[in-house]
Amino acid sequence: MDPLYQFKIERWAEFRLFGYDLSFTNSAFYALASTLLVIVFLVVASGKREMVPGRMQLMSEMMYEFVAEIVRSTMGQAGWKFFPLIFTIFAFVLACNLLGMFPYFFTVTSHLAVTLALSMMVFGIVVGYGLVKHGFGFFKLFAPAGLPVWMYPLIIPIELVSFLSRPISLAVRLFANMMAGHALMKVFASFVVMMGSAGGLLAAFAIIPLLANSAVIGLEFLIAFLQAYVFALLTCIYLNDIVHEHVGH
Amino acid sequence: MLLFLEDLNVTAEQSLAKAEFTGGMPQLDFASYPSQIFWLAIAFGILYVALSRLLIPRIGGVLEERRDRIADDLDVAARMKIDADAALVAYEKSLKDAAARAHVIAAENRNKINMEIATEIEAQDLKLAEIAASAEAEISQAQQKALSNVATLANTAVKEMITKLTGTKLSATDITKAMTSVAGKN
Repeated sequence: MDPLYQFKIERWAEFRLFGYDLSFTNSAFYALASTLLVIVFLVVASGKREMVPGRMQLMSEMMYEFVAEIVRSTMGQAGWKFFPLIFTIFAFVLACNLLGMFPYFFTVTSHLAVTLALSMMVFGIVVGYGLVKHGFGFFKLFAPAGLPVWMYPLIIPIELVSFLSRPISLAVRLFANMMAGHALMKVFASFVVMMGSAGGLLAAFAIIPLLANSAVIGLEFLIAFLQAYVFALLTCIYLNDIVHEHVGH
Repeated sequence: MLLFLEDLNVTAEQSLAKAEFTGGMPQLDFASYPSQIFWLAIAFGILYVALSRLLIPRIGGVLEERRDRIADDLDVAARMKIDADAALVAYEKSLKDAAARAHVIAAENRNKINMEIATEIEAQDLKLAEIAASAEAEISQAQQKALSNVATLANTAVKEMITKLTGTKLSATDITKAMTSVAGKN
């Protein structure tokens, strides 16, 4: 079976608006399921509000503190207003990644459309908030303070390209990681089936891709968490450029 | 091996059929982008509202409350420690005071007793001196008496001797006078 088949978008319910095809698909279902998963988990976990937390409450608090630590360590207190955004990004990406680990489940974050939309949202917030807060001063981001003027023609294009490539690298990193991982698991699983059904000595050697796949699945769980962390962390780092009074380095 | 390759060929054909069916990499099927982005926005929006309005304040509130409670408890503990330290200092001070007072009382008692002993000794000394003096007086009296007896005896003896030798009777007074003058010459 094609390892890419698992990424297929399936229309579950036709829905068109203003000429756009906005059909309810498996992607839409798993995106909403991820949202629901996070909300249900946190509602249940933080429901008791005990002074001495139980296991579930502790998990929700650890998640909160984990994201809070990312925000504080990268942006300081000035970036605290973005905490809900970072928390949402982290929780959503993590839920999508982990939900995708179930066999036959669709991985929302393995699609470039989704990761690009998320990274463009971050990019839009950086530019929009930067312009609102600093006005023209926002463009000092591309001309670091203390730089001699004759260096501007060289540095400004470099800074501009690095600034514009951020959302792309952010989107591609998450999408490529999730897609490659899931494709790899599929490929190894196919090997197991193929070699196993071939019979004889090959069937005995099918244990090798099976063991390899077990290891890859473990690795994928790590990547599912790691990519959510990286996405949240990089979002914080990009936002850090514009949350402080003085833009620039 | 041949069998395996044949098998692979079959699966490859099947995959190809599947690939045709899905149309290559589904991620690059741009027709699906509006739908994906639309539903992502809805899911992300719901999650953002739920987290920022309800869940983050709730978890953050519990954490805040706990931090406050711990800080309060630490404050109370610090206050109690200060109280305990003060109590210890007061206790040590009262202990020292009591010891000092006990020392003073002991010294006073010792002085009083010493004084009493001294007075008693003095009184006893006086009494003893008195007794000694009266004893001495008695002794000297007895001595006088004994001496006067000796004189009377000597007087009588001299009178008798003179009477025997000469036959003249001398009065005791004369003999005494004569003896005294002899004693005076010696």
